[in-house]
Amino acid sequence: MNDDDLRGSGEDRREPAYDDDPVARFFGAHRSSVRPETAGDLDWARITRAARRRRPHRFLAGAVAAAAVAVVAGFGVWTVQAPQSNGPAVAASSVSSTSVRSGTQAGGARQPQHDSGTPVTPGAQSQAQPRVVVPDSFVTWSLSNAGNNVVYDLGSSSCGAFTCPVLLRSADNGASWSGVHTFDGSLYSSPVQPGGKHIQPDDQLRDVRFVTPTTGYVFGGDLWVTHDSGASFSRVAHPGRTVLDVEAWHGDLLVLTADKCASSTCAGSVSLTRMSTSADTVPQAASSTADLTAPIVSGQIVVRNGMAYLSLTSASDGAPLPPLRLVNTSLEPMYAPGACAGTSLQAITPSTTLNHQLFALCTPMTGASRTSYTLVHSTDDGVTWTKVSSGALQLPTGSRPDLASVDADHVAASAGPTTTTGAAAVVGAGSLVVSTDGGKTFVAKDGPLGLPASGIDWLASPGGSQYYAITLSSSGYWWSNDSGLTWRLVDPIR
Amino acid sequence: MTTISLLAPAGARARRHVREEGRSAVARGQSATDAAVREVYDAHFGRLVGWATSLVGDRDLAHDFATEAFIRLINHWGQVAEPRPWLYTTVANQVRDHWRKRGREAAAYDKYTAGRPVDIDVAAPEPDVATRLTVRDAVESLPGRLRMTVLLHYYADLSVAQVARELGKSEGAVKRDLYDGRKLLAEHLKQVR
Repeated sequence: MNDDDLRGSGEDRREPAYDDDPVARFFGAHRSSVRPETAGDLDWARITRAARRRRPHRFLAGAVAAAAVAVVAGFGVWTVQAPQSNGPAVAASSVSSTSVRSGTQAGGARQPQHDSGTPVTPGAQSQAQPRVVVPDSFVTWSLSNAGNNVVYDLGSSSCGAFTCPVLLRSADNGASWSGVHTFDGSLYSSPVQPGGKHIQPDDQLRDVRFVTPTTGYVFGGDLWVTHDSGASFSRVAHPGRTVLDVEAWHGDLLVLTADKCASSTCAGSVSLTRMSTSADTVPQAASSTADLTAPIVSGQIVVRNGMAYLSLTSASDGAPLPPLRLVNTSLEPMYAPGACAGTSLQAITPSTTLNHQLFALCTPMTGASRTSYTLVHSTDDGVTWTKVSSGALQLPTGSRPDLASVDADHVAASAGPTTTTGAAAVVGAGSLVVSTDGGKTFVAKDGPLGLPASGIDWLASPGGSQYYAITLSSSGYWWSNDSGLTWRLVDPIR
Repeated sequence: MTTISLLAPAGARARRHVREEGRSAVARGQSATDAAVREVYDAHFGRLVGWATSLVGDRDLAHDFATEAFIRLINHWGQVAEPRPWLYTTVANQVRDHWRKRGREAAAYDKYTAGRPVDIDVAAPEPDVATRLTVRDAVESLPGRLRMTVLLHYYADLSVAQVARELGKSEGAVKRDLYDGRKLLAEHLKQVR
């Protein structure tokens, strides 16, 4: 800070801060070393947008006040007429291995609250847009197979000086594409690539999940739903501050949210909420909450056969926290088998064509360029685990591992372009490996395919014998329809 | 019947007219507020982020603090007499809360490491002790009642009158706090030098 400026055109302010003493000199020295940051248009746009969200509408405020008076009046009458009783029961929720947070109301048509106490604005609309050609600047971020050969691809495109999410739709399993919605209210500073930053600010959107060819969700910090194949969207009210992940299973939507989120880290509690995909509301007793024992940088839901599992990554060192499993309304820790030598399970994935079967990694053994993992397999929804191999699966050191499986024999693994904490990783060769013998051996697939050296950001199986792999540096994505034996690039721009 | 059917739409038109006038006025007011705050933003946002970064050591977090302060400023524009002192006080409050929280985490971490030093760079030259003392160290060495006053006056460069207004104290009380704070800090600086 420039002290001359602060003094104000030579005026003697006679303030203690400008006395010639050690204290004033100490603070003055530190003050003068403050380095200003840039103040850009993008930050300003976010500020005004957030301010508008929080700004109470004067007419609405009047109506709310009038309604409040009416409710108070009604309540007064009711209390006179009705016998005394306790208030409505609060939904049972909030079960944790280490702590219990009681009193989290999950049901009804309540107004969800941010942890700062600021109400979110459910029901906000993004009006229907006409279909457009795929923009040339498109980069794939997230993919969702909606069934009946319908695939949705959420990625980035230029929005003036910034980057914003664009949703593409294909009705022929990726052969042809059109743009169905541009989220120009969710701006990223160009050329930002979110990479491993899985925890997004409120107004940003990063991922897509469709439950039918017409109904689906996009989410980042917020959650938006469409019922018309992506033409229009409306914001969905949800508990918790920030949406970390969304998965659907047989008509139910599971939404993972967290509180006290800032700078891509959440430090409050995580909530897993079951919602109806038709009603877009939070039903009674739908939330299960666990208090975090350490700040996290990411959280993922895995759902299979009606079972839901949470993988959480610690913010301090990027290590996996013990995963949680949803049992009734409780989130209970999943314990790793003895073969994991005291390390936590990570990268849990179901075999998409089989019920009850899961694969997971543990015991990372870090070498200079490669890290080897122990692969474990469960056939009882993660209650017990069997070691498949130790050291057979090797991925580039420092990168975030991902796992996918089609069936008990076919497993694929990848290494991300980022570390587990979201920083850029040096990945290089061996970022995509495939096993056809249940994980006993793996064969690298990235070299022959000419995959970028930055690695794979996301790997998953949508079912059947299919795998998807996203690099975050390409307009398209990699697709295998033969359990990982062969792969081809699907590019919406071409 | 005729009278009622004619009056009702006229009443509705009148109410709609009033609502639209009101909305238009609100929109104009918001636009004027945004324009005014934009000037403040251009002048102070970058420096405010830098100031907060120097206190919390995390640019992203400092950015969040400054952003939050400007969001609140837009929504409280009509009640803010002087934006700069108000902004620095708002950010200082967030910094104070962050220090408290981090203090608890650090205490837990120290307990975990049993007080053992972690990651000491033995090859690094020993810096001058006085320059190693951070603003946070200095401010947190003071009793709680003096910290905000000292931080806002000495480090945010708010005048005694501005500090008094932002903290709801009299100027005399602020001067007394600064006197006490300066005395304690002078002793502290002498010890670490």
